[in-house]
Amino acid sequence: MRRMIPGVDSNWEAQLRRGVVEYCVLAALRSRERYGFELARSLGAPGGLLMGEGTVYPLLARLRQRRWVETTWRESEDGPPRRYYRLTEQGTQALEGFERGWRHFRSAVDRALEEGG
Amino acid sequence: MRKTRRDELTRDYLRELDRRLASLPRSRRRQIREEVEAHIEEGCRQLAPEDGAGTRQVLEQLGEPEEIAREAGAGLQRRTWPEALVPVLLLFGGFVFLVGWLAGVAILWGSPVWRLRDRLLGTLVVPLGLMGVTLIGVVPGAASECLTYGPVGGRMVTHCTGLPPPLATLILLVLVVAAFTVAIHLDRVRRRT
Repeated sequence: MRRMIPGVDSNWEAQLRRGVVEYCVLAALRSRERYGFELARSLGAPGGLLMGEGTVYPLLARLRQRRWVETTWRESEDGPPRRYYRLTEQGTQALEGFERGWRHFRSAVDRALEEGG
Repeated sequence: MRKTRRDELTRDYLRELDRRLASLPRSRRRQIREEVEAHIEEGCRQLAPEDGAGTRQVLEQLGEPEEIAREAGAGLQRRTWPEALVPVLLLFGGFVFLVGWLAGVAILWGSPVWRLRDRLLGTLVVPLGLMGVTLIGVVPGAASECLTYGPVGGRMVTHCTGLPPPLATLILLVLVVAAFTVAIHLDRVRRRT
């Protein structure tokens, strides 16, 4: 179930997405902890960065292995307990580092495109 | 108990997911599987048990199991074969004109599998691997060297330099154990990734 934008989603886009999507998951956790389904729904919406909601789970597993996020089980009012994800200190640092790099990268690309035009 | 339409669709989906994730380490596989299962349960909570269309929609939004597996890196094992050689190259590569060890170090630093700490460990414990340990063993002064001469005053005299043999042996043994421990550690990290 690929959400393709005709003529736009090509290899470079997939690679770019792969490089940044982890940090977007981190960013979604910046203000508060969230559980998997919640993250999947918000990041997996059409036009978003995920190729289907389910791909958030391998990402979360990877972030957890890197100790960028940690998890806690919490009771829920309307169902079984949920696993909540929260940014760690390391995760926060990684996100901040990415943010600085990304702004630099984005303006460099913008400049290059404008100069070309 | 009779299987509902929802159960059937979910079961088929999870079965396919298990198949796709099969090449992953167990803990990683279990974590993804648990989360996907919880996701389906949460997504279908408001649906009637026989609501096949509703269930199908939840699964479609979730995406193909193949896509989840691809994001998880399942099936990419072929690509990590040079990494699999690293422990062996670091330990024994030094005996192949040192080139083997250098190749091991190059893969260690070039691959995203290891972090800086692992890379430093792999390079510094022990440089040149077992070849390095062997070299230390034959360096003058590192190991004990004894020279017997005489006769002086009618007796042979033995004069030894360097570390006493038991200590030298102990140090070499510690280095060998350290080198193997680091190699095993690097392999574990690779398998976890």
